[in-house]
Amino acid sequence: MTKKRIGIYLLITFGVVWGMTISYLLLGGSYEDRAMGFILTLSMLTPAIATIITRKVTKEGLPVTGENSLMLGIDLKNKKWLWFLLAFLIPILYWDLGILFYYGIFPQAFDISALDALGIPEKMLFLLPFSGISSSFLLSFGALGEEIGWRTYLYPKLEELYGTAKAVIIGGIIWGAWHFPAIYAGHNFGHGYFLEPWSGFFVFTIDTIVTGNILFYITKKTKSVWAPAFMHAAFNTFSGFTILGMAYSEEKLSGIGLQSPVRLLLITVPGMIFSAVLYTKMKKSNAKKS
Amino acid sequence: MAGLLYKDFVAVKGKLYIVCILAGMLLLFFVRMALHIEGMDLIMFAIYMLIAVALFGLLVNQLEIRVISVDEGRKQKNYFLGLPISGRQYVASKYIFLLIGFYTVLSVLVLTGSICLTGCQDKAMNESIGQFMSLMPVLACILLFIPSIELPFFIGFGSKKGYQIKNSLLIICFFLGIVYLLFGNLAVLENISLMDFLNYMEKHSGIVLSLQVFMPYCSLGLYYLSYRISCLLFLRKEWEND
Repeated sequence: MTKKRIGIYLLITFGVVWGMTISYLLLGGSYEDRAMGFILTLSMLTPAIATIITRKVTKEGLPVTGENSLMLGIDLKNKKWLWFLLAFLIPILYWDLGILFYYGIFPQAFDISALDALGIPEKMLFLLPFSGISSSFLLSFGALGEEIGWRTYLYPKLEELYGTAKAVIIGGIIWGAWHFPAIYAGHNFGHGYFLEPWSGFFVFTIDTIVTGNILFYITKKTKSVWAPAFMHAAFNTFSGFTILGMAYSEEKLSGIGLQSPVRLLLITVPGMIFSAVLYTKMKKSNAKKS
Repeated sequence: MAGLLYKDFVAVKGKLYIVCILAGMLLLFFVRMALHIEGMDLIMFAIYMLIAVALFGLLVNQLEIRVISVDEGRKQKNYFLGLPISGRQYVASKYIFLLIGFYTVLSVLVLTGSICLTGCQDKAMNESIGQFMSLMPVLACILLFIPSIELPFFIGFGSKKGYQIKNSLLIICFFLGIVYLLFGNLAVLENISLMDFLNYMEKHSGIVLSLQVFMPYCSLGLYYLSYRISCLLFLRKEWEND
């Protein structure tokens, strides 16, 4: 039954998002169109819709809190509030350490004058991370849609079938593959990079395995969908911030440094180490339980 | 707590609201896709502003009163004593319910904004809608001040008295407005336009950034303070009844 549920869920999620994006591209649309923004926003809600439909169809019910539920409750007792706080802080550290690692390899890419384009006075630049936290909190509904589907439905189902270690890898690959049409259209990496779109697919899948693991870990710790939803929204917001002080042109960078998949891969390196630590912890605790 | 939230959701006919909102958004999407008339972008901008005002108005005015008054008709004290929860949790459920309402409306407005921006040809209008959309979280936070002030009155003194206090405050504001119209500097009002406001926002991005950063913390802080006051008033009311 679990396999059947996974099948129905994936059929709806992939069917709607792949169908919608590919049809739009075949009709002559491009990533730069405003309609694409709407498609991407709607896509983020699809996993939640697929979860609700699958639960209804397979008579699993729609419990709001507890085991095998939508995990919509929030419990801050037993120091769980700390994980909610970390949900905002980890993405900041994830991207900041990543960008520092990137600048360590390509120092010529750092260009503070690139921030002038924002039109924000220099004195107020320190507010940008706080603005990221505020907007991640207030505009997290898209991420909530994804997390209801991936972290509270698919990942636990995969865990039931294959155990935590394999579930994180398989779940990350599925989650990454779900993004492929958007990446093909130009999302995340743009166009004109080496081995387009395959290198983009590959690097993004690594990123989804790494971040998926962190998000699943925090879901298990809080037993709530809200912490990963805020965290996912923060990951999305702060990923935009990483390019703010970056000169990304042929004048400063050349060869491999100009390749957007290479940039994301390098930025993900510190996150990979952090994710590997959590992965080992989860594996160990599972081994103890079994 | 989840049970109380669900009860309030049913009592305020939440499903009906959701169906209406989804139907409205679908209709808007089909209008956006199907119609290609002169000035469509401007129409979409106007529709977006109307939806924003209507949804926030509905939320602040109707939902708040209904959530509080729904338990009063059922002999509140007996009803409350039958619940396996404390007074604080009961008050918290009302505050959380309204907060979820604000979060939902904000999310709906972001999605509606995306629909309005879809296929927008006019670059200036495109930017205006985008700027207006970026103001939505700030607007939601400012509007959260209203229930923060009103809820202690509604919870502490009942919805009838609360409503009277609310109306009294509105009348005072109305008269202050009239006094300003009679004796104030009207030249300031003549030069106000939405486009000027959006241009001001573009030029003073530092101020906008500060608002976006601090407003959520201020409004949530005030909302929490309001919750603590409501708890005190509610518990005192219960104690007086005993």
